[in-house]
Amino acid sequence: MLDFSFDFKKGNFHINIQESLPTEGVTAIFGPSGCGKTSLLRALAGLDYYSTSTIKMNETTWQDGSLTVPTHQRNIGFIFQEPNLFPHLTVEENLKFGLIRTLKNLQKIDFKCVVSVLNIEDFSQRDPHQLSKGQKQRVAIGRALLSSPKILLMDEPLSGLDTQSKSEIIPYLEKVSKQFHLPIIFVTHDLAEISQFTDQVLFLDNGRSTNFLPITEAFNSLNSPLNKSHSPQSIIETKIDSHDEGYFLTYLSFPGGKITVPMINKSIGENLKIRVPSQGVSITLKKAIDTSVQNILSGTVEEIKLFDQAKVYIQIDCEGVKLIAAITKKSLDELKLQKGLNIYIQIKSVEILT
Amino acid sequence: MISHDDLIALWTTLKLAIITTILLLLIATPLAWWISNTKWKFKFFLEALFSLPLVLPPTVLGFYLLLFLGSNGPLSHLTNSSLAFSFYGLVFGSIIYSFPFVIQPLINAFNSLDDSYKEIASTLRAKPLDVFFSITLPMVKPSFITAAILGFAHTLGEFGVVLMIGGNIPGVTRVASIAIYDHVEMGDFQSAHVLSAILLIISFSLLVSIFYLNQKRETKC
Repeated sequence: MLDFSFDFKKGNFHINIQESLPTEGVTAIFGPSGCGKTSLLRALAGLDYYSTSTIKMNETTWQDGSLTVPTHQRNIGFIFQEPNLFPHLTVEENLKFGLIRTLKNLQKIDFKCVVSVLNIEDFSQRDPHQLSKGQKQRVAIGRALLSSPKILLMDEPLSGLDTQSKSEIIPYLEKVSKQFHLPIIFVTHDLAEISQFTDQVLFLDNGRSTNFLPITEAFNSLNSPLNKSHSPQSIIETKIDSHDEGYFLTYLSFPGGKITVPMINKSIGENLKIRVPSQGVSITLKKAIDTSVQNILSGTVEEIKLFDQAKVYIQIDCEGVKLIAAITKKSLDELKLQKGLNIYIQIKSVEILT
Repeated sequence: MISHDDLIALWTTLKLAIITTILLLLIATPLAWWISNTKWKFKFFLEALFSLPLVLPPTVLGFYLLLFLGSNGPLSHLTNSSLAFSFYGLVFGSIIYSFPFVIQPLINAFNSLDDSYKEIASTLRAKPLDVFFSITLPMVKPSFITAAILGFAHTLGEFGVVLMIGGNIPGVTRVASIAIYDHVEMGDFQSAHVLSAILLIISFSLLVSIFYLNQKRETKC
């Protein structure tokens, strides 16, 4: 666990957070800009120092009163918004900067492996200024990995990138989180773009932590801070159940039933996250039979939330898995929906995440 | 074409400029780094002091240096010898005279260096001293070259201070700029021409190299 307690002022801004984050998987720190995400991350890394903080990483104390472990001894990797490759070094020298400063017996991550996972081979001999922004950020990630950190801290590494470079780098981030078994703490203001490889979310607002939720809860619960501002979308963790070669379809299973999607090139038993926009979910009281919709599931109304005069969000429980449907106020009244009612849902659109 | 005395004056000038530049870099680098990193509230006072030679007439500077270095000055009480009218007196004067030309580019360079490079290096296990030598110094290298060339060229052209504290001792403190003055005084325009042209060419080449390096750096970024 990464336990910390912060109580400090930065300018006029007061940060007061006590939290305990798991040191496995990917934890997103999410909040609007100016909520203290970056300050929190910098304090964790020891880049900013506040005497009132305490930080403990597993069994190692990083900060407590007068005791402070400096950044270079914290065994961390840090990715900034800007890649900031050292301009006087080549790409390869950048990559090896941390590696050559890591004791041999602590070197757990292999140079060749990083270079091939991040697909850097082709330009490792170049100078940083010759690379695209997406390539630079990949090198920055590789450079951090090669110092064999115990935890990787990322401060919105996607925010400076255009859509093209983002799509170039997101698959690599995902590979990194899977392949190197590194705990990652990822600061972001756009949770959707990293939802496929995030396990839990710490919500910050105005210098305080408001919620700490698993990623599916963060998306699929109407009470989640995420759904105050965004149009809700549900994330469902499924397994590949079977393929239908004849119709070129794949069936995904999850506790609430089965979902049909166009065929996916993955083998049976593999995990897959899918995203269901709330507009793509409709509700019927009886199971429709003469319908083109393939995905019909049964569930229970769990929560009803008026969005505006016309729109209502319904949170539905399908055998423990939450889903959100967006319907009109008129439909709500006509169907006489209320908490606890058993209903059927039709899912019209599904987006495959991983 | 060029007399033996003038050759010696040129050699004295070059020797003075080289020694001054090396000593200046050694003194100004840590000071510039400290100025750019300290939060001391009176540092403006030091910055003003370092810039004083820019605006002070060289004769005023030379006059105070003469008092300071002379046989009744505080330095001679310490060392029991007078630095005035000696080569090392000239070095001392030149260091003060050219100081702003060397320290200012270095302060600017340290100030403009993005902190995040140092921060990244520290997250990559580099200790503070390691960060200074492996990140800070290499990244300000172009400014070092600028500072060195400016210090060197400015020392080459020194006149007023040298005249005040060095006099005109051939082979010891007689530098090219003073030799030129002497030639003109004596009406020997031929020798003045040769020496002036040499100084002009050296100074211009040095400046050309600074601006060339700057341009190359800009196009690279």
